Amino acid sequence: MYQYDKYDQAMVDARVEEFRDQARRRLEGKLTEDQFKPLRLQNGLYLQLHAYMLRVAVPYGTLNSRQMHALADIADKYDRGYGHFTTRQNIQYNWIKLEDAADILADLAKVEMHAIQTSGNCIRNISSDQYAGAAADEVVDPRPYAELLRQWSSFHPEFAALPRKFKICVIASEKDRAAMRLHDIPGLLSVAIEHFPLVKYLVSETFKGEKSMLESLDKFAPGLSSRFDWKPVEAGQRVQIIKDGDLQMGTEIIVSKDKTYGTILGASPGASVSPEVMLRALEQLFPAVFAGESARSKLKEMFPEDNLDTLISNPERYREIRDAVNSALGIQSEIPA
Amino acid sequence: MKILTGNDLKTGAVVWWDGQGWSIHITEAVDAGENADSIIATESAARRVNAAYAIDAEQTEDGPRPAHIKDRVRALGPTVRPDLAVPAVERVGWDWVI
Repeated sequence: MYQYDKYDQAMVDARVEEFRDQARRRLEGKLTEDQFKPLRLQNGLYLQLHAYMLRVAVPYGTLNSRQMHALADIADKYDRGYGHFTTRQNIQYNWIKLEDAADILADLAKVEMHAIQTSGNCIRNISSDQYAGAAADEVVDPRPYAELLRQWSSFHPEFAALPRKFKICVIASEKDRAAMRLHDIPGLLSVAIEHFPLVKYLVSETFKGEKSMLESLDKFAPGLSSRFDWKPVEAGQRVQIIKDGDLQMGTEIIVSKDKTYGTILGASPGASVSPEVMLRALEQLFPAVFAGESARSKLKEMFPEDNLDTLISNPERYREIRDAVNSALGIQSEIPA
Repeated sequence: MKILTGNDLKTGAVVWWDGQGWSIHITEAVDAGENADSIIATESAARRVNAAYAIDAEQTEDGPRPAHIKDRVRALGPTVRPDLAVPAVERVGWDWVI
C-alpha cells in the first residue's frame, strides 16, 4: 500500500496546522461563516442536518490495521462511537465538534490519512474494487493505477477549483463491485489500457484550465490566443457505452473473421478521426493490399505523419503538416487580421 | 408562528431560539415574530449561533411544531438512530415527526 514520503507528511502536517488556525479564527470571530465555509469544506468538514460531519478519505479503500485502529479511536474519542463507510470508500463521522476538528486531522496525519479533497469541486478520493488484488476475475491489479491517480490528483493546484466535482474509480473486473457507474468518470481498466493514449488525452483535455487551453492554442497557432476574446465552452467527449456492461471508447472497428464484412461503431467519428479510422478499417479488410513495400511508400506519401501523439505534442510538426495539406487543397491558412 | 433555528458554532448541535438564548429543546422555542431577521443578525455576529434561519411553525400543546419535516427531523435527531435522539423526543414522541 501507499506510504507517505517526507514531502507528503510535511504537506499533510502543514495542512493540519493551517486548518487549526482557520478554525481558531472562526471560533474567535475573525472569520465569518461565509469566509470559513470554503476553508472547512476543503478539509472535509460539512455542516449537515444534525451536526458537523467530517469525511475522511480512504485511498482506493486500502487500510492497514494501524489506520483502522486510529479511525476507531477517533469514533470513540471525538464522536459517538461509530463512523459510516460510504460507497466511495470514505469514512464519515457524523457528530464532530468544530473545536475538535483540527485534533482529529492531526490524529489522522499520524497514520498517513487526511480529509483533503473529500468535498468541493475537485478530484475526490480515488476508489476501487474492495477485492482489488484478491479477485479471481480481475485482468490486472487496479491498485497501482489508483495510486498513480492518487499521487497525481492530490494537491494538484490546477484542479482545486473545477466547475464540478470529479470522482474517479478504477476497477479491473467485469463485475462492478465498487458501484463505479455511480461515479462521474467511468472507465474500465481493460478499455483504458487498450485505448490509453485516447483516455489520457480525454482526461487531460477535460481537466485543462482556461490558461493552459490558451497556451496550447498559442503553441499551435502563435498569436491567436490574444487576438480574440476566447470563451471556453463544454463540448462532447467521445466516450460511449455500446452495450450494457461493456464500455467502449472512441471508435471501434469490427471485422468478420473471413474479412468479407466490416463495420465502424462510434458515437461521432468526426472529421478529425475519420480518415485514420477508415484506413485502419481498410487495412483489416484488405490486408493483402497493404502488405507490400509500394503500399507502404504510397501510404507515407498520403499520410506523412501517422503518429497522432506527434501531432498533439509537436506544434512545429503539426504546422508543417497543416501547411502542406492547406497548400495541396488550396486553403488559405492565415486568418486575416 | 416564526421560530428560529441554527447550529451551535462549536458543537454543531441543532438549536432553537428560546427568547434569551439557544436551546437544544424545540419545546422551548418561542415566536420570534417580526424580530427574526434582527435576532439572527445579532446572534450570528456574536457567534452564539451558526447558519441560523427562520421557519414557519404551528403552536401545539407540546410546543412549536415546524411546518417542514426537515426541521421536525432536525428537532429530534436522526430517525434511524433513536438512541441518539435529543431529550425533547420523550415529550413529543417519534410520531410527531410524521
